[in-house]
Amino acid sequence: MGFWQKLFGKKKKITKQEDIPPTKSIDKNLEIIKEFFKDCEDIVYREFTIGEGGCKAAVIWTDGLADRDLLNEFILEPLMMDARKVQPGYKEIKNNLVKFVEEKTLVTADIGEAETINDAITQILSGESALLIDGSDKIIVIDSRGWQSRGISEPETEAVVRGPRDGFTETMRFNTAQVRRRIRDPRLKLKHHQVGERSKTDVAVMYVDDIVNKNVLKEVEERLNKIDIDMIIDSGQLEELIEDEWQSLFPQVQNTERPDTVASALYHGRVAILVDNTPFVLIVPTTFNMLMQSAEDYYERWDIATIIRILRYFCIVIAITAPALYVGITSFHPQMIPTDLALALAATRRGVPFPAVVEALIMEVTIEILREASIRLPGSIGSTIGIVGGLVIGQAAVEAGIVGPLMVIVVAITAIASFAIPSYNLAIAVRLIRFGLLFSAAAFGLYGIMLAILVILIHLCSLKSFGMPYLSPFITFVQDSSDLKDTVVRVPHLAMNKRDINAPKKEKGRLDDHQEEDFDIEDNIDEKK
Amino acid sequence: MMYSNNDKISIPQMVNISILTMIGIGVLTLPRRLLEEAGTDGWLVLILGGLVGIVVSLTHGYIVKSFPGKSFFQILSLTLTRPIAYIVAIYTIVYFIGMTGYVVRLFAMIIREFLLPRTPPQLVIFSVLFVSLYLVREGIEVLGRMAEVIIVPLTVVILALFIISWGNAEVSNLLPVFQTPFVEIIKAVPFALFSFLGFEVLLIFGGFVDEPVKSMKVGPIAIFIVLLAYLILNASTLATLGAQQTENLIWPLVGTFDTIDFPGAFIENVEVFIMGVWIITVFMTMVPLHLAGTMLIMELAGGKEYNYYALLPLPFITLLSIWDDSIADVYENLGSFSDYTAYGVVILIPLGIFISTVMKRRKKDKAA
Repeated sequence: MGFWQKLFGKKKKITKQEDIPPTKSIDKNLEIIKEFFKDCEDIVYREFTIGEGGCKAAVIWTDGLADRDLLNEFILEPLMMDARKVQPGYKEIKNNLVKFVEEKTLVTADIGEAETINDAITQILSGESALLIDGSDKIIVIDSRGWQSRGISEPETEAVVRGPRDGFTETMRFNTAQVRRRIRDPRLKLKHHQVGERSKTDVAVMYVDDIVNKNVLKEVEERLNKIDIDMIIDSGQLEELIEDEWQSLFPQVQNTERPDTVASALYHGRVAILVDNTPFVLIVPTTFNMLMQSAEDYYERWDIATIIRILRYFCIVIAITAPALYVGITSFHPQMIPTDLALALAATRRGVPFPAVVEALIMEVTIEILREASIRLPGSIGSTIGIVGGLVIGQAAVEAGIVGPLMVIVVAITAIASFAIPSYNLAIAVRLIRFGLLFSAAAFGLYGIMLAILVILIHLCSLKSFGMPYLSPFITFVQDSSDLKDTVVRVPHLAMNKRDINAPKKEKGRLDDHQEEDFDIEDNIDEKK
Repeated sequence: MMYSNNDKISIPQMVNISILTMIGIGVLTLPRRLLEEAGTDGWLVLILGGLVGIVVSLTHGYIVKSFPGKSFFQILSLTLTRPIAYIVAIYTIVYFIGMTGYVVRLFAMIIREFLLPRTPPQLVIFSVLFVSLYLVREGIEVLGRMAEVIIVPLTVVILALFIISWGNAEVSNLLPVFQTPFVEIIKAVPFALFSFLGFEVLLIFGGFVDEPVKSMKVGPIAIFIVLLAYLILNASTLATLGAQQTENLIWPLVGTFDTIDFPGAFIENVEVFIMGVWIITVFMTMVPLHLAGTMLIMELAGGKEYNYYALLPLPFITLLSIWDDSIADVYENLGSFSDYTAYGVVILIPLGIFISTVMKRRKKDKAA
């Protein structure tokens, strides 16, 4: 029992800390805060006196998270030095000191007040500074966030040849600013949440008010509020907690490092979820089709983008089925391929002591190991591993008679094809599915492959992402035929004049090319005359 | 939610389900059977059969339209009184489950013939039934999406194959026309109607259609498309193989594609590839029948979830599918089975409901 209890049992409920209201005495308040921050040696307490003969005050901040220059110049200096120099003196304003300080002394951009000590503590840990003044039961919170962070750099996972080069960083505020820069519209809304009982990670939900799918938005808020977990480190964790079906192999939430992708999604009525401390932003709802698109498709010429998209869909078919087809054809239906090729294939496989499945498995597992190893190694060595593994091992395996040369070709093409899938999380799902198909092909040949494809299709049809069918618009192509313009093909921007299925019906239109609806040639000629 | 799991399918999805249910096992033998029935005038039989089918499907559509959102069993209870409804529902279940069984049986046999000669057919039966079970458990909504996803690529592939096969066609093979006596053509119409079987799933799935007002459209559109497909299929087979050869082949359609010779293509033997495509069409015939049977059983038993009820018909389907020994037996028994059940389910029961509805409406009008 204990084993299963530990494996599947529910966690114990964490007892929540009670809220403590601040008192009027600064010593009492400091004592409480110091009790909270016991053994936290990166918390700085600066106690001082306001102005000439004034009352006691203290500023508390976290070293490294708060901007020290700002604290020195705009908080401590006005309170300690300037207050002494100018009128009115302390005695005159004794009664509304706090208000005076807030309104006239602190020259920082953003200040607020904390209702409880717990609240103040969270703020301090987020990089703000808390100002305590004796005789007041208010804690003034000053925005002093300023920590070291990585600058904006090119997104590595979604590189494009043409298109913006800026990517998200680990600081959420910079990320929201990058999105905001692309949408100068007051209807772009941003709502904050805090997720994680201990980590208190900031999560921002962004959407464009009038074109967002209201149901999706409601669902996002509901699911975010439902989360009860100690910490969130990356948006990947959040994704798993809010997605519709965590058992599925297929990603139901899109993630991106590119602000332009997020902005474009927002313009189409989708919802972006930004998580602090990670450059990966989540976009919902997500469909299979969206995972097959790259940002560059919209920046390059439409006809070329269309061909490339068709190529990508072709690649995903290869990536899923190629090894399975090899196994199915060689072991069950050699009559399917031309006789010459079949004979040549049989000749190369004559020396191979294994059945085709084992042959395929050896090569597939090898290439998966290579792939995993090359991620772990630093860049320069990683490519070496690729060459050594791909070329040398493949060649040696063929010469040693363990696998046939065609198998090496099939595996290599499969691997390359799976790299052509734009989203990494879909690509890794495909990697795993490939093995399932391999086994069903080994058992039932082509029939097995067809059954496996049917199972995958059924699963894809049953999936939903925040209420949106995963395979849309393909599953309702009669009603949503205008959505097909941006799927396997990408029509010219002039023709993409409607928002997709996400947007509410009355907000569908997005482009007016200012041309007559029906241009009769003869009419035009008449006008010219 | 906008797309919540409310088990609704759109009209186009319903049309697609009907099309895919109709096209299935029959296509492989259709040209030969038509030749047997009416010689080279088979196309005339097809058109007449299609027209009759459209008329029959209009009554189905009318029934669904008259009882929006009601399930088949509810409609039966409302129109034919409850005890009769039970009997009729059980009879319908027998039809659907029996048809599923025969489809699975033929499927297994053809798979054995063309793809897996050494695999025991039982394994094929079980494997395909489990995949079918998976889809049935997901319910009507997923079936509707599945039909809509599949239909376009399927049409493209099949049309492409036919167009390629026309390379060897002799149009004169289609002649002579109008040589069969009219009486024989009329006699062959019931057979043609049977090759359109499958549109009756509208009766069961009608309650899930999101716009029941338009349900009269479903049958005619679906049958028309299938009729077109059958005409192309029949003409291509006849033109490629000629009447004589078509008559001698068990599965003439496969023979047609066997004549295809892709110049310099990677695939030499198209047969296997055709089978791959055909597996999908048969699967989509099997699942709606299985689902329809499951839904009726569930309603009779008063259940709400497909999960367990989808399992119930499996033993019967399996039993039926391993009942007969040879191909000839299967076709003969299938013929007599559909004679006993199909007429009832497709024509008599809807007619009963139809008459009862109209009569009740008259009464109401009189009372008003």
